[in-house]
Amino acid sequence: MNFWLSLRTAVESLVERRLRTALTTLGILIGIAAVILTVGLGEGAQSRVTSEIDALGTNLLIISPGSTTTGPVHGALGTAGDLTLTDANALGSKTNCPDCAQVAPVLQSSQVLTAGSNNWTAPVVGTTPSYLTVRNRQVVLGSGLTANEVSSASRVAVVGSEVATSLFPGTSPVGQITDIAGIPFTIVGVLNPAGSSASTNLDNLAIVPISTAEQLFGRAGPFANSLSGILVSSTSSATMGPAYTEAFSLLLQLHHVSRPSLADFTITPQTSLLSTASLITHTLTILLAGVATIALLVGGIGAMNIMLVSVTERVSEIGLRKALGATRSAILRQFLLEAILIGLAGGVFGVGLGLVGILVLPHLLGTSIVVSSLAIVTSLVVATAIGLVFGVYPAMRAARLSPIVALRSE
Amino acid sequence: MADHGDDEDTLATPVIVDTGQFGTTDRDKAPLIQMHSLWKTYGMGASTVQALQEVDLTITAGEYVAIMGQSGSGKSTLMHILGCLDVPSSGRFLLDGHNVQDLDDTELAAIRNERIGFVFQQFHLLTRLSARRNVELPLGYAGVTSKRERSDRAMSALDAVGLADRADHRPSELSGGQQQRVAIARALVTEPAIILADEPTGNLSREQSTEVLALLDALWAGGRTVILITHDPGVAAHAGRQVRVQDGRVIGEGAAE
Repeated sequence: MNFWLSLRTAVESLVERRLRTALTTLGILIGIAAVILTVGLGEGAQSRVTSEIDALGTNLLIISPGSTTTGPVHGALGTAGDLTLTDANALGSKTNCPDCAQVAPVLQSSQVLTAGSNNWTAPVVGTTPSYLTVRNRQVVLGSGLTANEVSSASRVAVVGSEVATSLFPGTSPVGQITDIAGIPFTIVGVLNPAGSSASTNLDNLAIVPISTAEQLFGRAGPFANSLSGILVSSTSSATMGPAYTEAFSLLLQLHHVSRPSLADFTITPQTSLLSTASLITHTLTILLAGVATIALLVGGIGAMNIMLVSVTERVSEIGLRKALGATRSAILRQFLLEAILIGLAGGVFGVGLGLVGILVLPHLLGTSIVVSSLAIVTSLVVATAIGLVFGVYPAMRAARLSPIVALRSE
Repeated sequence: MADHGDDEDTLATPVIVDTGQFGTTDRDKAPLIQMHSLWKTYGMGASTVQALQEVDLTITAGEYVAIMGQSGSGKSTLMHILGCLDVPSSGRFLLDGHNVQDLDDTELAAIRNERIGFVFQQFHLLTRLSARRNVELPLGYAGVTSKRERSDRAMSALDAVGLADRADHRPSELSGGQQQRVAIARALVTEPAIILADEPTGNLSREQSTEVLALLDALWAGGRTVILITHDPGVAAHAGRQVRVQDGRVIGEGAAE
């Protein structure tokens, strides 16, 4: 019996039992669609995390006060417990930290901004002009902070796009006056919209000179000069490591800390954020794909179950075919083809359903899903292989049936 | 037809003498089937069943033989072995000079396909296929790859049983007698030497039985070896020779009384 005739026979037999074929196919279809979707969701999350972390700034080192290690208090209070402008200036020196490109001290506080009858709460960031470079932000309207404004503690602000539209809907905010904590500031610029990153809204902020911020909401007492953090960018992605080491030893020295384990500050390279986030999404993807694989396996077992039922049901047909001259391999081929066709159909429709999900889900969930052609091809191959693997046993049972036993049953 | 072997014709001569009326005077008289001291045992130990015991049977090409017996007599087992659906436990079975015991599954399948046409009591037509497609089935296993050729040969076989006009009907749209005639067309389509009919009229009315038996008679007259397995003496009477089977043994032979 040639291949095409076997194929025709298999197709006819599947069409004859179309409801059962459809339900069996559904098992594999759901599994394949689940795999396509979870892998797509995983890859989407991965690429989103990567772009979000990139949005924080490039080649960024984030220095924050305090230690991640627990233990006795390191150093005397007020002497070396915090990050100061002195630290930031020291880091900015090329001799101290040759691999540091830009340094931006940050003094941040949440404040109420008012303009006319509008008011808006936003983080107010006191910093220097380098902040925009380090954070990889651009001014789209007006101008950024100048070194002059910083040295003269001018009451000027650069605002994020969300602050701008909230306070001055419909009009250009540049040149307008807004009150921050009751003190009037002139808005000199508006930042580019950047969306949100790692649950932080990058468009909801106001940037003011750090000197002004110190006057406005700097603390009194021994911590008067303490910063919320220092952002440092390295000269290139290759010098992240050296920049980290240089900044670390410089701060140890400035803070009079002898042992690195006693450091009263923490430096987090952006890359470590990236790898942590990637690890989380990767683990999640594997978990989801695992669940989807189990669904696929269940679908395959369902297909095998139905194939076994089908063989039992068609014992007399098998016996007749054998009496008419069908060899074992001809029967084996017929039933294997049926199983493979079920798998392939499940794969094709599963990929179809997965693609529909990929088109629809981002609108419903607000997540991005990445379709990879590799996932699609792999799914089709896997679905066919499942049909083959779970079809072998039923097909072998059919092929081994003795014609007389098969003909007698009816 | 049977080839001109060197096998000696030792047993049973056909009782029916060719009349020449059907153009069968050139029939080969070489033995087509030779069974010698054939045993078939089922099961093991205490539950052993001797389905066939020391069966000796020779059938010459062109004979019309009825194998008669009640149910449980072993006639079905004998039919299975004759049809190469089963192999004997011991003894010798030569079909057209081939020792069947020496053949493997694939070779047995080829013999069934090329040399034997089966007609069953329950017709065993595939319900989802048309009459023509049912008749085409053996051709697919015979390696006839041309769809056209399969269709043409199936149509001429259906024509031979008088059902060419029913070729596109499904079995459910045909009467029992017509279904059995389709089954006969299917048995004929590969031009086998032997037609093996197992209770071919068992599920048919008297009228339909007459029709089907007439068809078998005509096939025999056309030169084929026809073996009928039946419990019905009336059916067996169509054959020129009766072989009576009881308790797994051949208990007697003879022409219709």
